[in-house]
Amino acid sequence: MRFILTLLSLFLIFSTALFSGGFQINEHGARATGMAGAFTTSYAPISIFYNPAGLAYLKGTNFSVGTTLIFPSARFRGPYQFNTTQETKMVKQVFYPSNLYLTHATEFGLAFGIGVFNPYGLGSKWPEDWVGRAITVESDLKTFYINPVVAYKLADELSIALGFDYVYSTVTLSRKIPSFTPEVSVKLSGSGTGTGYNVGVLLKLDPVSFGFSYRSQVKVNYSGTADFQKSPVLDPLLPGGNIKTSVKMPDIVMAGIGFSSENVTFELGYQFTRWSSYDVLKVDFETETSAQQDQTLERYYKDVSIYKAGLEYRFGSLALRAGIAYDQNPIDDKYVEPSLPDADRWEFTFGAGYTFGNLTVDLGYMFVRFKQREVIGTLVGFDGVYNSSAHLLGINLTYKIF
Amino acid sequence: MKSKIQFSGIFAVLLIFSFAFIFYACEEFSEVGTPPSLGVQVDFSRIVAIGNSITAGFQDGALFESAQQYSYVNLIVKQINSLGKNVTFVQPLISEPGIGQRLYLRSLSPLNIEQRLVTGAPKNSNHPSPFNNLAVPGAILYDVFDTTDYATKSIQRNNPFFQIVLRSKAFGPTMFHQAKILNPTFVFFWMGNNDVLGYAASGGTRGTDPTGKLPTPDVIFQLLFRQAIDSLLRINSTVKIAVANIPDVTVIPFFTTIPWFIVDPNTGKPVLDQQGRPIPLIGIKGGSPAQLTPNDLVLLPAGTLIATGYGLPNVPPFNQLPNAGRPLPDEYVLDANEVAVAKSAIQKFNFIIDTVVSNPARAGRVVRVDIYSRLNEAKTHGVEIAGVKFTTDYITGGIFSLDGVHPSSRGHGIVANEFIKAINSKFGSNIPYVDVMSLPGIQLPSSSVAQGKYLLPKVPAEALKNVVELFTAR
Repeated sequence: MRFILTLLSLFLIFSTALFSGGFQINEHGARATGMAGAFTTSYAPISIFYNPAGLAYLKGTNFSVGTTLIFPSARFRGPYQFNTTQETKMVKQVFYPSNLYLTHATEFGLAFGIGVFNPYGLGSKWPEDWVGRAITVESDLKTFYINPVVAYKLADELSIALGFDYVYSTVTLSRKIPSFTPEVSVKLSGSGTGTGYNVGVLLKLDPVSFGFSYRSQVKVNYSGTADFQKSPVLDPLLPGGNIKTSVKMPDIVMAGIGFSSENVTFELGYQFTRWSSYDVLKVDFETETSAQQDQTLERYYKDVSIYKAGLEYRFGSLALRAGIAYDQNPIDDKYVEPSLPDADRWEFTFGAGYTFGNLTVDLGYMFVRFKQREVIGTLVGFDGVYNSSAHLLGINLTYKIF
Repeated sequence: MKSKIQFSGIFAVLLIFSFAFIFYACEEFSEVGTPPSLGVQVDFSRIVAIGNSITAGFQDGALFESAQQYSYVNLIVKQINSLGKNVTFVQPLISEPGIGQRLYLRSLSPLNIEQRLVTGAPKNSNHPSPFNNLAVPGAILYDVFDTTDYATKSIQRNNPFFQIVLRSKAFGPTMFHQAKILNPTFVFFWMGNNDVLGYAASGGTRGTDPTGKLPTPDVIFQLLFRQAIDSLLRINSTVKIAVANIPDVTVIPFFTTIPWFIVDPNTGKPVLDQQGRPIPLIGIKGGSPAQLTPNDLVLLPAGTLIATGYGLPNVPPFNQLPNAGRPLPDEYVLDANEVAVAKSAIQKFNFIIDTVVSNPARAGRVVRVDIYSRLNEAKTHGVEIAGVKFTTDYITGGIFSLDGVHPSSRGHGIVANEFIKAINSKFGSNIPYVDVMSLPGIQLPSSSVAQGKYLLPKVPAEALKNVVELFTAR
């Protein structure tokens, strides 16, 4: 049965879809969203995500809750291997990474805060019977970061912060094995946890300020199950069962230079995501058979940068915001596949905030325009053209408790 | 004052930004390529196919309608018709379950294949003109022009297909004559596989040369092949031809599935001797029993023989098997010398095909389809299509059907795409490729059967013998 041993394993090559690039989400506060995420020199409860050192400049106790509705759309034309430019549209879905922040500043320059947000996530869904079903049908990855932080004002101009990340994540990936008639449906699902930390520094030299924050890599160890919907004749080959894998959520550096006056803030921001930590993905099967074997998949993502600029103008209780960002994708052409049709992109944002007494309502809108991406020579034999765009709508309610 | 300056500055920035946004957001997606259209260079209105069992759409040891519909030429015609054409391509359809020793997959692990002698019936033998698909399973190149009465030939060769395909003398005595009556605008011609497979699939014991022991001699092949192409080109002044070459035997799972050494029935791994080396099977080589080496090919039907002890030394634990100590018979082993004979014939045939096709007198109207290279590539690297990797491995590789020699439906899709690629690039047409994944995959049995003990493939030798019979034409 040598041939079965060596061959059937091919059926199981995991969707390269597993965890794809740009599955980073940077919108964790409507105010920052309105400014294209250039928020390292500003301070608000949402600074826990962007630069926790900002907490030291907040007053009293603050609470903020919000969400970002993400409406992505994508289409694929191809595959060229079939000499076709037939178009397939991704199934419409709405995602809502949400956030929750609580901060408290003492009079001694010491501030505490805790934030919950979803900085890595991904969802894509293609028609069940589409031409790329052997690669991916549906992918869904969610991460929940629980991030307590301590910030300390060393001087009126300088604050620092340190935080701890506890991460819970879930993942579900489904696709088809079309080698057989009837086809086999594969669903891998799991959950896991990991830990990390974050630090921040904010230097305020009026009117110029410098912000820097770092969030460490978090290795999430997943355990879950592989389920196969299949003909019983495949039972001995594809028993399914428990699986294990781990993914390193990459570390992030954010830096910014802010210029502010009484009613204007302008920030030029830079973000670096060390995606190169995502090099290989190993999937371990508890039960191995000739067809169901451990897999090591090559990913080899590239480190990427985001360049952003954000502006806020305050008219008393009202604030208006705008921003623009250029976001690079970490995936080389040959690894691009439809579970995450990633591409370099421009992001345009608008936002507004209004304060009623202790309550502030912030809205942020972002339009993401991915560059049209034509990929040739993909490892999965799926060359073609991707066009994607997304609308994001963020809202946050912030309440100053006292 | 200061604030006023800032205010207007900010609005200038906002204005520029808004323009950039509107401009970028409204930019239309660019068109990708041009939608396929057939082009005017090639006339596909009357298509004829001449070939053997592959072109006929033979699969799993038999010829039957549900496989014939996926014959590569029929797939190509469907692609042409998807562009609004209405090309008819009539095939000599055989009702289910077909004619031949049909193989059915009963279990994948361990591999268990059941064989049934099936006797379907021709469905459209009253079709009023010659069939467009004139491929005759079992035909060799010689048969294209051989005017021996096909009914007699069917009886002589124990091959009903000459009679079924050619059917009426009113249409002419040979594949060529019947093709000519259809006055084709485009001919698919794939012949010569059996001129070497007859030899190779019989383990080098039979053949298609005048002695009946070797592959067709290359001088004869050259003569026949040139005559075939030239005669087809003379049917009318515009007919075009696509010719496929001959794949290597070492890419065909019939020859590559069973290793030359003994496999442990429980683990599926080689049994090792005290030095940690695999223990060779014993087979007849050059007329006498000898240990096999990595260059000897054990043919697929040998699996059932090995399971009863053939090829195994008569020592514990193998001596529990009734036939332990007996070498594998000659016709189950294509030994290294015979492999060389087969390979050499294939190289010569393919060289002849190249030379004839590329001759300037013909080159404008004939295109060669390099199936040989495509399958070699599939063997070395696999063929990755939309996330599925096809290889030349038996069953699981996806390219070959259960008999280990004939393409599966998806194998036909891959072959069709190779033809389409060659035709498009040669003649400037733009036939869309076949969506290989839309064709049926490995047909799974509806229920599992009890697992057998021995892990070697239980492919009924008898069934495959019938396939071998097809190749050994004379």
